[in-house]
Amino acid sequence: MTKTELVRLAREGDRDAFDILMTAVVDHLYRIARLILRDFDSAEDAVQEALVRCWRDLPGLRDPDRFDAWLNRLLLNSVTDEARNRRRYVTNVTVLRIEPTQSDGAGALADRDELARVFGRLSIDHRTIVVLHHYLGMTVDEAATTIGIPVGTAKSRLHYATEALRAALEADARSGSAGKALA
Amino acid sequence: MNGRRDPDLLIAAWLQGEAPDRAPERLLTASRDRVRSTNQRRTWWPARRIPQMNGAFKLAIVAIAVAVVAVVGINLLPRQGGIGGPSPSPTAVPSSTPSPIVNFAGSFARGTAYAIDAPDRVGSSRMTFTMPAAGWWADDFVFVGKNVPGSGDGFDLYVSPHLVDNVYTGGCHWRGTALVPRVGPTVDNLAAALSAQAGPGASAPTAVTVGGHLGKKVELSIPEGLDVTTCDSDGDFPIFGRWYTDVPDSTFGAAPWTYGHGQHNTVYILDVNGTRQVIDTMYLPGTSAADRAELEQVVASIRFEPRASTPSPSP
Repeated sequence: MTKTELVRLAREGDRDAFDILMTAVVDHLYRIARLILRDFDSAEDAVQEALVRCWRDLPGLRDPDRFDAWLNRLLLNSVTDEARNRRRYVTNVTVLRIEPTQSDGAGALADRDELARVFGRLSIDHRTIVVLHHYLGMTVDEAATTIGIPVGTAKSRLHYATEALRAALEADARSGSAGKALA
Repeated sequence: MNGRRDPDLLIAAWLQGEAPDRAPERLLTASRDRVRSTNQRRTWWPARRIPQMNGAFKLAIVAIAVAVVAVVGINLLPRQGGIGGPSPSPTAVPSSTPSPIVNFAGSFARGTAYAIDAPDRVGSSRMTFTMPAAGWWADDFVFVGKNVPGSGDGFDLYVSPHLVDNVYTGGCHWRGTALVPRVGPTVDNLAAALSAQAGPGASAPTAVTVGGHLGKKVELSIPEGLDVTTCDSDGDFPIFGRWYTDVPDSTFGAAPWTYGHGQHNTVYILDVNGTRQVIDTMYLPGTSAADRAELEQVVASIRFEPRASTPSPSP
């Protein structure tokens, strides 16, 4: 049975069909939520809320072929709600200055550590566009449509977020070079 | 900086490494439990049946409606602006509206500007509007609707843009009745064809303006005595067919979607910079005057603007 057929059945109230869909998509949703929210509990709550909304509002989805895009949008709405409710990870993305990285004596921090630090300082909106573009491989247009924002806004967010991450990598590279020179 | 490193690839690789392989089992279990205890919102069908009302109940409804109109009418009914012609026009558009939220799905916020940017529904423009009240929502961003509490699931009223290619003449039994040759390309052609559709309930076209664009308005009512569940289906739901579009990749076929017995559609047919744009609005019998005023306020706030082609690089 195809996904479209499952969506049609679930839309008509078939809970077994929805269970199959839910099982098929939960890992994908969790990865996205976990990447954006950077928190296990928040990610689980966001995914759970998105799946419940998906079931509840599925009869309103006219075109089953839009299911994936629609579900992504539901998830992003839930992620935003979750972030807004908890207010634990929201920071102002305009603060993009990268602090000089201190060598820990064992060498420079790895790329992932520096990226994680900077990524965690980005706002939810900026993390979202980074995940959609760099992780899911969406074009800016596709990401804008998925989030429900103008293309210009999406492009701007991606530009600033990516620049911040690139700066982190450059800082890491400088730190690594300095560490080697001192060794 | 190490010039051999591609930052984009490093970022992508880092995200791949950060993403968990699987969701914890408890997440699926908890989601199943919540879904099991959640009812679906029957947005489109089965049609909400209009209850039979006795005389006393009708009088009560009339009294409440009069009171509602008297109390809130001054504030809610249109005063000027968007809709011209025979309909009054409200003042729903703030003078300094910020950038609208595009293709929104979810519950709309009062006083907030939104835009529908969908080439198969709004052609080369995008349609902006301002939500005058709470309680409106959309799952599919091209349908902006409201469900009246206590009326059952599904929209009781909505606003939705369309690009119409042709009309049906059969109404309830619309299959195989597409007009041949097709309806002409002008506003007047479509207005006349809709007015001439088979069956009762279609008004003569009247002049109107929406968002500064001239056009015609046609009122279309499904007779309350007609059991719309017997109408031809579009494959998913029964529809009292009025028109269709066959724009490639359109998410839309026979229309307007039928939400209940006695459904009333007010169809605005506009000339938007050379494109024949249709704004379809719907309300079901029993919809209050206040809710209908909100519907008119949404329409009165509609504007059309060019689709942004060059995104701004500024934050």
